[in-house]
Amino acid sequence: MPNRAYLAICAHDVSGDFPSQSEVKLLGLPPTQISWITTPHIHAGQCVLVVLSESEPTKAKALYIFDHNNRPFQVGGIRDLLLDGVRLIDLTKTHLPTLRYAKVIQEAVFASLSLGEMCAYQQPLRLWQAKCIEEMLSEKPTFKSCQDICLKHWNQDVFAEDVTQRATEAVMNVKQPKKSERNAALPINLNGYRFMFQIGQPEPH
Amino acid sequence: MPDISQHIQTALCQRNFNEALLSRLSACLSVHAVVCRASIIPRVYVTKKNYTSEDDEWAWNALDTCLRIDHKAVRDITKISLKVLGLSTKGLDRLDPERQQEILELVESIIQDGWGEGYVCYDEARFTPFTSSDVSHLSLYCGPPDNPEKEFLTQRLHQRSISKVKYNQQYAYMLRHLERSHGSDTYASVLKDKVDAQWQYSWLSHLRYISEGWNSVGSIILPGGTDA
Repeated sequence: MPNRAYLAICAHDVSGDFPSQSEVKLLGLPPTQISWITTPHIHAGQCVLVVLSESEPTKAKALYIFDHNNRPFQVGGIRDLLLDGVRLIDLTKTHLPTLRYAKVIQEAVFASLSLGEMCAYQQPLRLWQAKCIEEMLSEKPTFKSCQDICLKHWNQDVFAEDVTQRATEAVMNVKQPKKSERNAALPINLNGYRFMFQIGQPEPH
Repeated sequence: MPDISQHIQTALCQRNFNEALLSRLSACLSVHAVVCRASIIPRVYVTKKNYTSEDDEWAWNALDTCLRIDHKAVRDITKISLKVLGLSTKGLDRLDPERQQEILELVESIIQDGWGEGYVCYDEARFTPFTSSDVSHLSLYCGPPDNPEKEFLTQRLHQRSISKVKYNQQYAYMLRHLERSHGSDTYASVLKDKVDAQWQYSWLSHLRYISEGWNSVGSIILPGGTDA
């Protein structure tokens, strides 16, 4: 019986020196314990691949992020279990539209800022980005609701007035992605591994 | 368009080309550039017969064309060529890869029939320091510069190769820093795009390729015009 691997979306930022944070929340799965093998840099809304223990479903045997070539790169667990072959359950489908909404809105905001402004406001912008995605993923908002969430979390006290004005205009003027764009599968490359694909439903927990 | 290769062949035969302004072979070269997504990149066609020639003027002329021509003029001549042939950039972009390959083979064979066996050489280093595709290898066929014009070309190639190494080192350092501090979220990807755009502008202005008051027609008819 092959191991079960879940393609899931991370619900929060995970970063810093390992092993300071040993728990990761993945959408559709119970909070999962993991032992990191490298310093993790996982952001809210990032797709990961996790292999769970059959006996203890809250313990991950292996966790992978995807590199710039969309190939899995192991950051947690003891050994590479993908080589043994796994049954893959995709839990990302239901969250794809929300992620795409977040992406287009945030790209529009960042595009409205200069390089200098992006560097100067690096921390608040990344905090805003994480807060927006976390809230969006916790519900299933419409595009309009996503715009409202983005505006709600924009901290006007931190940003200069003209920056806030441009960001607000960018949020309001951004166009909703087409259905084909928001439902397009994540570009992951699993060539070379033996998988049994299954479109999954969130496991009851 | 049912058969675009047939359309190109017919257009090349039927349309009136003013050889002084736009030759059939130049039009083919423009189609090649658009299919290769290099419509504004200066290009030359290097033939094998050049290699055996004792005369090095062809190499100097090729370098002159690529290093001094205004890229806006290159873009204009590409547009004119497509218009004459009844083609569009979008139309060529949308073709599937097999059809694009077919077009490349067609225009290459037409150019080969006209100018002899050879290859199209793009000066991609004009726009980005992060490429190995440029015209610097043509300097191997050039003798020592014997006039100020050739001296200028030699200096520009030399300056570009030194800058290329420097830019590559700095860019690699910056990317490492970005990856370490920003990860792979939307912020990081937009920031990288902005940095890339700034580096490209910096590269163009550093080598003084950006010019004011460019004259497109003059640049393209007289390769090596004074717009660099």
